[in-house]
Amino acid sequence: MYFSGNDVEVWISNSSYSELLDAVSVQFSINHPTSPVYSPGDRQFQTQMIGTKLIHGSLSLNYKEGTNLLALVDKGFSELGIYYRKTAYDDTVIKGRRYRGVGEYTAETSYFLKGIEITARQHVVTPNAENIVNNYQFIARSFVGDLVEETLELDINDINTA
Amino acid sequence: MPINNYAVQPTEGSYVSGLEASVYITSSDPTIHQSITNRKLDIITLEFTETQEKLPIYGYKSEEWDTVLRGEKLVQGTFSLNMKSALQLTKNLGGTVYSRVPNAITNLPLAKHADVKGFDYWYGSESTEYTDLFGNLVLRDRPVFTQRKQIPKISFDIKLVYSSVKMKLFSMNFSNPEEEDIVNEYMPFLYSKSITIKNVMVNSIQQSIAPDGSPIGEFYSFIGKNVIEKSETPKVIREN
Repeated sequence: MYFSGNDVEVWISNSSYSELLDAVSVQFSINHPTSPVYSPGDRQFQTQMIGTKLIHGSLSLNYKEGTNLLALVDKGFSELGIYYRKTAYDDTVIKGRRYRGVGEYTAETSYFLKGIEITARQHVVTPNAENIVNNYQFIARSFVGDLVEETLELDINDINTA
Repeated sequence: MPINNYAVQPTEGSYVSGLEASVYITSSDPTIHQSITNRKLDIITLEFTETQEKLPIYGYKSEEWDTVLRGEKLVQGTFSLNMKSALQLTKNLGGTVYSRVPNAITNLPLAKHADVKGFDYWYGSESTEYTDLFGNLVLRDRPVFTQRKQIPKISFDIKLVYSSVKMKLFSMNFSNPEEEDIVNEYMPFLYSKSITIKNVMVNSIQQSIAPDGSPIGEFYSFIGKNVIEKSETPKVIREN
């Protein structure tokens, strides 16, 4: 099952509380460079030296009341959670018989960017009716990702009537 | 029956667009022309970036950073105006770009005062002037970006105000204790919030002229000290 931007929620949280962000877009990149180490006369490297990790990213939020990411991060909200959840209905085969559209497939996963620090905020006003957005640049300390969990729920009533 | 109290229903927040934006210049500096302060500017676009430098510090053998050093903070941005007169805003802001040669040069014996194309320039020697084919006085090596003897500290604030009217549920209690009914009614509310860029100084001006009927634009770039956001309490718009 493929995810799209419509299946995503972006939350920011501290140790005890989470707040849903009105995010328009989010993107990040993880840089963890390694340098190959060659012994004298070697054409292929023998080992790699692991460098330091840094996560860069940007986040666009709709500008409205109560949305001040800078203030939230200063108050200790330093974990950015990106949740993916998608539900789809598909055919299900039970005992060799195909039941049309009775299987509710749900897939969900999440990413967490920990140790968020905002480095820049951009605000653009142009004379049109599009929503004003605040674009934030951030760095983060670490990245944690969950595996995709897929579940299937069957509605017995639907199966009986199918 | 008079309303003795009212409560604004909690709102989930409202979106704003550029159509609801107004830009003002505010300042307490007396050198800034009063005609420009506290007036809505004819601004087309406004854009700013607030940068806070942060440097991750890695401890020995750390793959992830251990702490972050905070650096300098700077606000940089641009805005554009439809042109009504040449460098309209700069002149009203005290002429931060066009300025005069230091007054020390005027003490030279051959010093003269010339008026070139509307601007006052001081020059120090006969040899620095000549006339062009049209008879205009032209100064050789004339100063364009020079310093004044005393550089004025001209800074102002840019205030960006978003104001919009939205219909929201309005709860009313009446002063008559026997009548405890609360009347809920949708009424127009004025929402306003502002972003103020403090201590703005104009860095450069660019003019764009295209060979068509579009208005000539002047593009100003600026730096500022910090940004302050403020949300006003929603107000009910009452009919007189």
